[in-house]
Amino acid sequence: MTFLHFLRDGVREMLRGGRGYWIWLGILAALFAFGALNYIGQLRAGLVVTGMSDQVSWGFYIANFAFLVGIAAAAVLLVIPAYIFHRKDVKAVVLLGEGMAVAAVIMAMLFVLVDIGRPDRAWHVIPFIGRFNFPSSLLAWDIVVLNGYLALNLLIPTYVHYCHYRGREPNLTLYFPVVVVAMFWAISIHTVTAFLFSSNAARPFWNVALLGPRFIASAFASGPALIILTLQVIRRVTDYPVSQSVIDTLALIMTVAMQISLFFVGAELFTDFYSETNHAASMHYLFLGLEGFSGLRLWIWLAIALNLVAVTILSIHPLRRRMLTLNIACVCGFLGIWLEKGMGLVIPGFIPTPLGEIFEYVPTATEFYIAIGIWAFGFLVFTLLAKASIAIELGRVRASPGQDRGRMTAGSGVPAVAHPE
Amino acid sequence: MDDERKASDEPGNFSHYRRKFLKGLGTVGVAGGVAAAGAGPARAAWGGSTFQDALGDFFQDHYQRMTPEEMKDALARIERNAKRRFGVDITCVDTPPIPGVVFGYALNISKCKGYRDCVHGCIKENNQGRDSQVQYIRVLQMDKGSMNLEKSEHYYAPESVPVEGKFYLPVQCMQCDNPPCVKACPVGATWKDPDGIVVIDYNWCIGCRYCMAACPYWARHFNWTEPQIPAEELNPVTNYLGNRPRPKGVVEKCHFCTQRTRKGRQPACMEACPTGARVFGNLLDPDSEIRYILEHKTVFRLKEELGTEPKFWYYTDA
Amino acid sequence: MHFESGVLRRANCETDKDMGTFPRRLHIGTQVSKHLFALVCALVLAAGAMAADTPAAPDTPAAPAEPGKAPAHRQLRLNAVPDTPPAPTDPATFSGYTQAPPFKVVPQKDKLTFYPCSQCHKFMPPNPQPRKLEGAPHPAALQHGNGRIWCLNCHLIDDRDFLHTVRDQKVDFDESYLLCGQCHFNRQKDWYLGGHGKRVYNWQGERMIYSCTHCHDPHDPVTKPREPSKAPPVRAGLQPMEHSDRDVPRVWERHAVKQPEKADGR
Repeated sequence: MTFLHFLRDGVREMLRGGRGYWIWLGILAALFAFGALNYIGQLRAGLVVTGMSDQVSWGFYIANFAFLVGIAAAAVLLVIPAYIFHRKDVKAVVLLGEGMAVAAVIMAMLFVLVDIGRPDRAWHVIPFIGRFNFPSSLLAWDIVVLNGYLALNLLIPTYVHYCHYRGREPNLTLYFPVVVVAMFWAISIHTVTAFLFSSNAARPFWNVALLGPRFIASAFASGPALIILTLQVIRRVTDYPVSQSVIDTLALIMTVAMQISLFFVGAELFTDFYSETNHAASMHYLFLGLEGFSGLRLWIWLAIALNLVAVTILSIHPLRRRMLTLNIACVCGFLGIWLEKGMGLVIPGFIPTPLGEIFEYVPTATEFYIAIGIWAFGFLVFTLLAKASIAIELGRVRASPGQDRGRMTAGSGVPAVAHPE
Repeated sequence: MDDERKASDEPGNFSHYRRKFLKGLGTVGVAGGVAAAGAGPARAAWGGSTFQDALGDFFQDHYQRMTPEEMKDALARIERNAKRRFGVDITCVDTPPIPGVVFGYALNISKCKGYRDCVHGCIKENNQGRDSQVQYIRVLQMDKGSMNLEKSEHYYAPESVPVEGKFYLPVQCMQCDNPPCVKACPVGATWKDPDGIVVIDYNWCIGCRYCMAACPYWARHFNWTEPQIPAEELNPVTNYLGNRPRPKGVVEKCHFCTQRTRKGRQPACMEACPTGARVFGNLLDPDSEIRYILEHKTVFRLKEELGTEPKFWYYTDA
Repeated sequence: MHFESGVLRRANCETDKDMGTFPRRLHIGTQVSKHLFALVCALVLAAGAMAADTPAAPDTPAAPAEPGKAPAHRQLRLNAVPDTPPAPTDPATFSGYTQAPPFKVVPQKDKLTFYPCSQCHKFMPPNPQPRKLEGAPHPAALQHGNGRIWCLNCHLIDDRDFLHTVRDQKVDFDESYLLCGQCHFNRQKDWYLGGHGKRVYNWQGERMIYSCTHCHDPHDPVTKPREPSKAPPVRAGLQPMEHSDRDVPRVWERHAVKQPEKADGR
């Protein structure tokens, strides 16, 4: 019963806020509605409204999917310091990180949903009722790990918040094993997504062993970027305590991950370009253009430039410590990796086709609008979850003690998180 | 690999329960739909289907698990659907594979002149969408002396073929014995039938296109839009796993004309080829023409190094 | 570094006294090794020179200096020569290939315009002289064999309703393929066994195949070029890619060197 009140009070908290909050929600909802409208158009006409073709059969949607799975996996970078290294400052924000993981996984799954040709047949993937080609199909693995990750990242924060809601500490022995599972699971979601691509012997651009490590490295560079920016927003917009040491830790992780990620890119470039075989045709198309077609060349070099700016700033300690330059690095790194891992990974895998044809791909407006709608939905989910989470953690939402019906008690509960001095 | 029509890897009773569950859902849905639609006649509003047909389609089980009655219902729905979409009466049957047969295909590149008659014969036979622009066969124009597919020309349109210094390589689904697309499909909508043909259940495919990424021969094609076929060109003799009119949003590919070959007839591409460059037959029959070619001619397969074991060979006169 | 008295010294390194007694013993020993080394080298060089002079004994005889001597390769005719020559046999008649699956040829006689040919030719005296046929109502040009054959090598001079083989066997028009195999026997073996030609209707069961003349006009057999069917489209709603030139220079074109003008202007 109290649990239902917990949910009700949480939802109530999500619907409380000032003008700025509602304007923000309104914008996100409007963008989501616009995206949904476009999606209905896509359902009616078929995927012909996108720029995809038999030659390039995956495009903007799957590019965003691959990127977002990485963002989701990066929540583990808060979980490990919080629970393994017992960093109290990180522990204060780890639930927000898990909320971001939830939003990212939901976005990733939505991107897959809008990409498939028959979403009405989505029930076919349900084991036993449908037909689930597990363990052969990597997509089946991806469905398992993503849903599992969503469940884990809903379960743990729900449990912790529920305990705090009832004014007690969560039982560490109970949920610590689940946290450990979630840590390994986070690595697995992104490894499985990498294997989704690298398992295709038909696509030499993807069929490299380094793809899994590349995915993890770039996820650990782009995820913290988003978390750092988000935490600063939360610090400014709410009174939730976000200590600078968290941001410093994340920035340091991002630095190393970015350096490793760029090293991996360099390794790929060398291997493909030193003795250029037919297998390097996709890389050649991406970086140098092929036979006069160079649609992605500008974007990939922009991505490399952004990543280099980011890694340079991050590698210089004073610049990393200053919030302005750190934020620039975060934005550059996030965008750079979105370009390199999204479009810069998915599209060149199809160019040239296995029969040697070069057919380029440009996303259509409909694809953009639907993608924006999904990103807006993800931000919306995170905003709502963070709103409720912050309220509970600051002690503003508590179960009414001694009664079966919980009531909203304003300010009388013990905050789970200490206010900053 | 689960390639028998009725094989199931779940406990025996479960398929029974699932069938009842789906049927129950379907019945409830239909009852609700009929009630909602009132006592009037069935309206063709659900993407060109009636509500009952749409529900029947929605709850339809996988080909390999359907009972004969469910299959009959599915075939009847397909025929009704075609009538509504194109105004043509078609027949749709389920042709099981012939036992003791594994199909193989050989193509004589000394004889192929690049006419593309096979491409268009296939389109007509297999009811491919003229709007969705699906073509199962793609003929590559290659430079003589090279096997580099990256330098092939797909869109050749000279005044006459064969062009001096070029040879022609038609590529279609290789019906691999170790198919990467079958491994890739998350819902098992594509599998290798006992006669070696890799088939697709078009009513089960969810259109994720992972199989298209996995195929090394670019053999699988997607219906980006609803296939449009002129009524007078529609081939009314269809089968479930073959040339029945497909819906939008599903993947399709060459299936060695199951509606013909499982009845002993030649595939349409072989029939259309004027030069006799195409040879088709049963690999298990030691006296077949295909076996003669594979044992006595200089044969090769495309991308053999990928380990897919294609059952489509190329050979030369020498 | 330089080599001095057999001891490798660095140009600016320490003198002998820094190395103690070591260099002196090495000095003596090195003199002996130096001579031994020179002796071994001389022996190796001499052996090599002798080896170069002697040609390797081949399995086959070397290339002859003049014609009439034994050839430098193994003679094919000497593969598996029987001890006794084969006994005389009755002349065999070609009857196809036993391992070929049975077949029926799609008949074509009904498509011949002027058949039966004897309706005119029974009135015309036979003339075996190869010549230009003026005024024939049927096509009278033969673009087959580049001058090796002419009409009556296939058409039976005494009965124009039939053809004949080199061995003067009478062959019906619906069995005209028996003539083609006389020269094109490799191709015909393929045709019998399924590697050439076109089978119609079914892949199993009764095997109906086209005769050679179905595809190849015996008077002008080379297949002529024709226009191809339409090129593939691109997906509805997308534009085709601009055609890019895929002509890659062949290896010899990459090495193309301007040839000097020959004396006679060629």
